[in-house]
Amino acid sequence: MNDCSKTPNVSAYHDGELTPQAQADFESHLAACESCSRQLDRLRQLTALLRRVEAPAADGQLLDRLHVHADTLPRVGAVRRLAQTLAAVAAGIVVVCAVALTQGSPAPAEAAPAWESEALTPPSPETAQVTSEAAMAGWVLQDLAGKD
Amino acid sequence: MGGHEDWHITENGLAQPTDLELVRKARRGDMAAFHGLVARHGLYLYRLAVRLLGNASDAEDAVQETLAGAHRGLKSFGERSSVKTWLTRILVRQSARQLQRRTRRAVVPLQHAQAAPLADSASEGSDVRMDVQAAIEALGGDHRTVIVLRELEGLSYEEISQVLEIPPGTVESRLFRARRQLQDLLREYMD
Repeated sequence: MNDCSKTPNVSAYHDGELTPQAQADFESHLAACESCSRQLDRLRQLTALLRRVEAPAADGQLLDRLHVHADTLPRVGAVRRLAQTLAAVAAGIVVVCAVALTQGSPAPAEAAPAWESEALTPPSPETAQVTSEAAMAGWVLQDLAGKD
Repeated sequence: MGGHEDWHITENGLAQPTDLELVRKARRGDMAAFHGLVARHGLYLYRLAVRLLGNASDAEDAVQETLAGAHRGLKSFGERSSVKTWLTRILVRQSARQLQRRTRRAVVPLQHAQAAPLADSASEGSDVRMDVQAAIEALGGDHRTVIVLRELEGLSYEEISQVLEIPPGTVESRLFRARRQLQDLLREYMD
């Protein structure tokens, strides 16, 4: 159908996409090239045919539906703002907890029973002599009886 | 396809924000600005989607997905192309996805379908239009897209290049092949 190497340029010429110089050169070529001239005619016919296709018509409510759809889209930055809010709340909770832990009055430590401190204290040579099994037993009994 | 100035003056002398200004406002969370973009481009996107997909229902879905995609991508829009080109690019991608889904649903894909039988050469009007429409739909997806963008929407090679993110030379060669195919499909109407 085509025996000219410049036939592909027919499209660009037809579409007005050639530079002025290239357009002038191609017009000179067209005057002498039957193949390109024929192809150009066919392109023009094709474009005329394609332009007979009617533009699709939208129903009257299309834009309304598109606006309604747009309203369902998440707000720009909404997720980021929510994340920032949650992070701030979490940070606040951490601060409150930290303050409570560091400044709150700790519960007074219950005094260790006498027998316990005595039992855990390595006996010095002096106390080793004083501490007897009977004394230890007495302290344990006192502790079990709730007396200090 | 749209200027890059922030404002432009309409025929009645009123200053209107440009597309780019609307995008910048929408990016800051101004939904009224986003609605402005919908009002400006909604019908264009729908018309293009019908031409690419061939039916109104799929086209409306594609436009809605395009708007959702544009909304998600407001921050990443680099302003290197016009807003209309950007929206067109998203729509073309959404339409390609729709066509892929359609193929997976085992509906006869358009690129494998044959053009409907041509009307009697003596008939005119709607028969010719239907035949032309059928021939466009019989093209493969890539060829159909360049034909629609160039022949029906009048985009330049450079604009098509931006929409499809391919070099202008590829646009030209793809358009050349698509036209060849159309000429063959519509040969009964060609001298």
